[in-house]
Amino acid sequence: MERSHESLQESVVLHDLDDGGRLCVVPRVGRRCHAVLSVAFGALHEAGARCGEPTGIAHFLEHRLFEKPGGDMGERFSDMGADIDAQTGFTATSYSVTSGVDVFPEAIELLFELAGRTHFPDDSVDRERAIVGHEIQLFEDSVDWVTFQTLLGALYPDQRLAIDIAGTPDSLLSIDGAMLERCHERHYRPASVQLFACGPIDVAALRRTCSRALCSWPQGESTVSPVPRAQAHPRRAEATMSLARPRRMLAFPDQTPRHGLALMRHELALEMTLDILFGPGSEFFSRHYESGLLDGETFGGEVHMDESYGFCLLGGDADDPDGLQAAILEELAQARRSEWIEVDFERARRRAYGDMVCRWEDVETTVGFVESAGLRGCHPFEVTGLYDGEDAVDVGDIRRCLDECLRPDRVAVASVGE
Amino acid sequence: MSTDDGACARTPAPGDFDSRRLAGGLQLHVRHTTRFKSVWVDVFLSQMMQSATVTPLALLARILERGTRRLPDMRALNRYTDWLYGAALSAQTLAVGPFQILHLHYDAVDGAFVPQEGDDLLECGLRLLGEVLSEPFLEEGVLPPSRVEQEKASLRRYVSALQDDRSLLAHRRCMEQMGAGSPWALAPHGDPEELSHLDGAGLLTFLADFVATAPTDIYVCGDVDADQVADLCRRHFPGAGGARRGSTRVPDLQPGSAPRRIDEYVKVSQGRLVLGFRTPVRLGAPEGGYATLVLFNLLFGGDAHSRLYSHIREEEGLCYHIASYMEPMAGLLLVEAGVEPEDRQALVGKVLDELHDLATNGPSVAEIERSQALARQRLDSAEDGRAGLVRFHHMRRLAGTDESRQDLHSALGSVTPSALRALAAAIVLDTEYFLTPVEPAD
Repeated sequence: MERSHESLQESVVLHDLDDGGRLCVVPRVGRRCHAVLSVAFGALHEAGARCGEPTGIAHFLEHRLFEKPGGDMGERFSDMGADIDAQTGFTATSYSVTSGVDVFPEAIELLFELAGRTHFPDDSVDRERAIVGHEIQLFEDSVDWVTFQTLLGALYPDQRLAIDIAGTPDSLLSIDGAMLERCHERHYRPASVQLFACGPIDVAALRRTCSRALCSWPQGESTVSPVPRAQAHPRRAEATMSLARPRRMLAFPDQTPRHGLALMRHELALEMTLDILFGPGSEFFSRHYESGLLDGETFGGEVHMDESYGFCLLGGDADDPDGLQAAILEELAQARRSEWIEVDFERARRRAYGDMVCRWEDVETTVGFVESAGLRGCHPFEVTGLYDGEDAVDVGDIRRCLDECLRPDRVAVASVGE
Repeated sequence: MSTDDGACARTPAPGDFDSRRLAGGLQLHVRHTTRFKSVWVDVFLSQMMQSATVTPLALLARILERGTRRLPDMRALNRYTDWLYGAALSAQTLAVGPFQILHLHYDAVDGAFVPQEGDDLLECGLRLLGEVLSEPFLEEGVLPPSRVEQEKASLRRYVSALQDDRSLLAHRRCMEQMGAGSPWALAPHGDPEELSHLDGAGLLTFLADFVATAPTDIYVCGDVDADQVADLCRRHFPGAGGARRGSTRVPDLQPGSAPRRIDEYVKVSQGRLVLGFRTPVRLGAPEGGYATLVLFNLLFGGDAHSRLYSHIREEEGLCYHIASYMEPMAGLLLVEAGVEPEDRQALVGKVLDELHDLATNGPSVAEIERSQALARQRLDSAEDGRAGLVRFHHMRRLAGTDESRQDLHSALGSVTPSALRALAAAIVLDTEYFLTPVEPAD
């Protein structure tokens, strides 16, 4: 099914594959193609060590799939001049490839081979444990990563979300080749696969390639079960790190379950709320920049929304982190009574609209946009409709964000520094 | 006019930009293309790094973002660009080889993609950039003292926070050692120790002089008309660029007498190692010399199929992160790795073994072909992006070479195995720098 968007001058082709997978293509002129193969298996789906799926196995599996009997898959992509990358998230694992148009069909074949074919000799599993161990340690020096991890611990104590996606050195100890094999067989099913692509692509040929490749995967319904919504118990957590200045980050949990377009609408409304109240054009930002309470480099907010969890982050580095925290909470307490929402709504909407248009520029950001819509079961053009026109986010949505999520009385705090 | 509307796949054009001199040292480079939905403008003003001028320029970049005569404070500026559908405006200093660059950037959605026709977003941007440079907000004829002091504090905080990025810190410290006494040792963000004596009046004089004399390059990329852009630039940058630029010689790095080994302690979870190698090749080297270095870097440690990655990370499991990269104007090849202290010696040994093997036996045909394919694919696909093409072109202008993407593309194909072997044999380890997590015993 093809749909076009007149003012964006874009079209999107959606296609259901025979075995339950889905294909989404944004055709373009140009020389470069980008594709993301997304498998609906992420860290939150791990069933636990007792069920043969210890913490970190989704990420470990992603790493190990790069080795095949003929050697490292990375070399085969490089041989054709293609760039390959992979990422494990909470609810999906994605394998992405960028290549010139001339080799794109071969690159896609290889992408399916990468995700679909297994080869897990035990000595390579041991070596991988060492590499992932180095990776975990390397991230312990990243202030962004430590802050994010600390905040998840403060929001969702004792839940899977609070543990590194890669697991811990201990949780990886029991992983062996047979366990990886079973885990792959269970979760990498055609029905769990979505392919998102953008570039000068022959859609019919790509459809045939996908169907052919998925034939050799284990058939039948995926055994990935829906992830129950994480329960937030916001509290304060600290992490010790040698930093020039301490970092203070606040997280506001969102407990209302939402799906599909309603989820994306709420996500956009939250982003606009943060922009109106705390963005570079806000009164808060300029007042506290001038007083030195916050800085332009690190202060900011983020929205993380999914069916199984949801929260907003806000904060940055500060000489006086307690002062920064108090100022943010005070601003939120006032926001319900202030007129900023009405006064600045159109400014924030125009900014968001421009950002949305720019996400349809490169093949990578375009795939990112349609992927984020597709993984939530939305058509990309339903999502663009949230930015302008009769279905657009309105002031009522912003007010709802203040009532349901950005509440000063429900906040998790991460304090990072010496 | 050079046009690439993306409809036809073709080999790289001889020039990616339609370049013209607008005045003295002011050059405009336009890339007309319909493949994007926004217009990008980059303005670069350059000076050779010198200890007396790096810090005032770094501080000025921050003050320029604070307001203009028309938009007097940060809030007014930011609200104005938000209203232009989230246009972006920034000013910062950066290093390109031994040069310090004042880089102003503006981008905005192309008017064809916004729901209501209104202001011409490109003209709004060029006007804004011109005002940022030549009409900063003044109080009683000088840059406001309170703002100068706030930005000094911000710059101090920014520089001390850079230390938190351990890889960057190790790279910076290694370059300070290798380039001691030369522009290569200086950082584009300046030296916080030099801030105290700067004031609003002196900075304003410095700015006026800098804008009037620094060679200036304006890059505009989007669905634009080059003649119209040229007119707008003449109108909004009337005093920029100064005299026509003479060629500035890129200084050489003085080699150390023997390999140095420097360990510095920082509280860190994992050590960061930087190996600084000297090569005889510089950007713009004749007869495909630079193409040889590009390929060598790719097959040595510059990509995930490289020797360092596949042998040291994948086979030996000695580290998670290892990579090599070039400093093309200095002819340096740097290897960086995150490594535990107990594995460091073994890792350095392996890197040197790989270099020795390449100098003795040369790379395999498969390695060369893979690197050629990758390098060419990156050169070809650069035209699907914007920042990469601008960087490629501007760096060559600074280095005084007119090598195009097509020149490099064809030179890559002529690199021979023996040239790569000879290059490997001529590469010398200069500095081994280690940011160690182990506290010294004393």
